[in-house]
Amino acid sequence: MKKKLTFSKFDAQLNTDCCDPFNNAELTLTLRMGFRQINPAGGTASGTYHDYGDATAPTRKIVKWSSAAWSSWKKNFVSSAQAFWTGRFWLINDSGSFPCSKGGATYYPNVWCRFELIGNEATVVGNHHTIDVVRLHPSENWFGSHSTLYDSKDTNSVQKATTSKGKRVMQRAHVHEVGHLLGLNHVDVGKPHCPATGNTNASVCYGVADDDMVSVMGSGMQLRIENAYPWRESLRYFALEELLAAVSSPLSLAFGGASLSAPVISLTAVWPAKMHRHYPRTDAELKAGTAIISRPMRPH
Amino acid sequence: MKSPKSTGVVAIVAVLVVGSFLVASCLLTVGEADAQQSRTCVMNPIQQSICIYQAILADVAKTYTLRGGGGISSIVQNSTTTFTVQIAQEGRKDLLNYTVKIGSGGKVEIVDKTQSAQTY
Repeated sequence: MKKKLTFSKFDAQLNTDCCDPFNNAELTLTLRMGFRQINPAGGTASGTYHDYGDATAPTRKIVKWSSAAWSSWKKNFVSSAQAFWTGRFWLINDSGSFPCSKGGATYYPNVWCRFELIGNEATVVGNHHTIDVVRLHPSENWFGSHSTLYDSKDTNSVQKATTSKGKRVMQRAHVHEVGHLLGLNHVDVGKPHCPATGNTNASVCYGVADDDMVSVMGSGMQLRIENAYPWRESLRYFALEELLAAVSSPLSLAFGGASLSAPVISLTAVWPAKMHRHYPRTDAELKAGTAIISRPMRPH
Repeated sequence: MKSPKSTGVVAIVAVLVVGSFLVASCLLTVGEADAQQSRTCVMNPIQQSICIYQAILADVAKTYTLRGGGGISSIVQNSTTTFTVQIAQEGRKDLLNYTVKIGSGGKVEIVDKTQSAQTY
């Protein structure tokens, strides 16, 4: 079964065809970003641009994009952000979804979380997000970016914070921004010092404790279990979609419709996330709650 | 009349003294800034405002841990005793709002500090 859902932020594809005794189902989130060059005014080779695109903010020196620089920057952005986010989480199938039969045995795959980032020109139809990009002059080390305005050095690793022990906290801004595009909030949103109803962009929302500060949705590069949220939430929508389809077609539910795996993905299933590979489980392993984290012996 | 050699020595010593003073000024902590302010801030408005800015900057250096971004983009006086430091960060400007008290002896004391952010 391969099913697709389209969300405003990204598309999602659930593939259970790849399931076997050793391979899990795959849930791929696809994000299409449309990039648009910001060049110096008047077609000149160099000029200035205000931080945040705000005319009251300081200016930084920028240079005109060349075709090669543009292509290279986009390629680096896409490949590094995709590599950061793809294949990092496994959602554990505790609900007995997607049974897969092989050699007389039934296996229950987990869901491997994959990410595909497509970097288009802004003119391409169907992008989820459009991003303006300035090319900084080599003498400039920083530019005031925001969610729809990036700079050519946002892919570089720079110090964002300092831990309580004086350790530098480094981050490549673009992976943090892609986290936002996937729907993730800053690491401390929801804590008393960063209420979700307040300004979630305040500096305290980037993490106060060292452990939070170093998170990718703080000021660092560390992934956390909770960063699997976009995949978990997407999976819930697949469950909801299947349920709605079943309700609208009771016969399909009764006789096991072609679009459904049986049983349907449970709406109430938790799908806890893990950050290392968990292999598909047999019925007995599932019931016992056994985690299979190294390649198991299975009959071929 | 001094010889050219002794004039040169005097000049070097003068440069070292002035340089040491400037370096020391840049390395002031809050306490040190206060100590200096209590001696000099009462003198005139310019010196007093310099002391206030030094105290605020010393506090930023000591307490603001987000070392990235574009640095301090402005410090604005909002009233006689309130000031806002703007620090450029990705996607936002951090606004550090200081209230200071100027004692009778010219001593500057930070009596309140709040932080907010302007999001882009």
